[in-house]
Amino acid sequence: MWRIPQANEILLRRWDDEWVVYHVDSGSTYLLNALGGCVLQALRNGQVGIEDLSGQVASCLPADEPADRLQESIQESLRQFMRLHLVEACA
Amino acid sequence: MKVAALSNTQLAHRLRSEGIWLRTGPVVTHIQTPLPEVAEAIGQSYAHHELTDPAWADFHVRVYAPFLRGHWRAQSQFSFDGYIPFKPLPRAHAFALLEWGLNWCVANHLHNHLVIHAAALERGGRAVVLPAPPGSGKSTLCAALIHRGWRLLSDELSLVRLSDGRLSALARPVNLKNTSIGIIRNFAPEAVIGRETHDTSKGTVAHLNPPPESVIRQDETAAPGWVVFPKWQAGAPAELKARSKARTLLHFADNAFNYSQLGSAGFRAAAALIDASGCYDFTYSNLDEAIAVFEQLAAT
Repeated sequence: MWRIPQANEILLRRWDDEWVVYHVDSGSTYLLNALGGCVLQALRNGQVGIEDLSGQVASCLPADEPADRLQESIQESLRQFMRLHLVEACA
Repeated sequence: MKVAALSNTQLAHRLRSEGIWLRTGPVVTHIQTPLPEVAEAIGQSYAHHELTDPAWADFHVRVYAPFLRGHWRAQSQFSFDGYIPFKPLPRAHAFALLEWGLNWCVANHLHNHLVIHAAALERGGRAVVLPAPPGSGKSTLCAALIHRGWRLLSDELSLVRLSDGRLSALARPVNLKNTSIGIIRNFAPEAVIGRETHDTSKGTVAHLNPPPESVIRQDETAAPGWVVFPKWQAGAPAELKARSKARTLLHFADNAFNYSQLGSAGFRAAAALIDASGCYDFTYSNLDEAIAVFEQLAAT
């Protein structure tokens, strides 16, 4: 399961296929592609497992992507977000 | 009372004694200077600005000639509430130093606005924000537009009010540099341009007076309309190209002076500005062609 840390507030904006996230805790602003934006958008609603996350991201993305490749891409995004303290793994 | 209501002698006397309280849009600055050339330049560049009661000032600034042991050349120094933020400059640069100092005051302290390094103009109630690095032709384009029906909000500092996202005006002089001085003299012979100051860190600079109407209307805010990144390019036709809004926000994050200090309020203000604006890259080489494109933009 993955989630946005409870103490972390993020602000998320979408324009076309690009997203921008503002991490309130660090004051950092990041440009995200559609996949990254959809991942964070899904996690804003609470903790989500990778299967559910894939489903939510698939419906958020503008183009269809094969399910196996999508899950791989989501996991890579989650690893990057974890390094930036934007998300965390939870039980 | 306007600055122009004072004679040169009266203005110089005020400036070297109690000072003047000068209102530029939402900012009141208390200015003191014993330097007659600075008094003369203030009289010319701020003739239509209002002087206010000495009850309140956002900033207290002085430009003066410091005594510096070992410096044989005449110097000028800027102070803000007694603090000296810059090294002294040659005396001949004193008015340019005051202008840069006033920009510094606003950029670093006006935290009820998001302060973006960009020019801003208004037409039909909507503002165009022109962010650009030095050398892109931003000030030249800004100076040309204010002589073709656009109202000057600011040449250097776009002020996005946090309370409602509207753009406030400063209506201060436009800082022209190097070849742009001659270009604007030719383009708008009616333009009032002050003395040229040579050998500054930005080359030769001269200050273009804000049009009186822009000063008179300095309390009118404008709704966001467009964000246009201008770039002068030899021989290029005047052309607008849609630009990524997300990348425009990242530009503001890097180039707004107080984005970090404002935290989430800064992000929200920048995002709201972008939401409400068409975002474009703009290349041009000819000012008349550029003006025509902006006319079309204003008509949309």
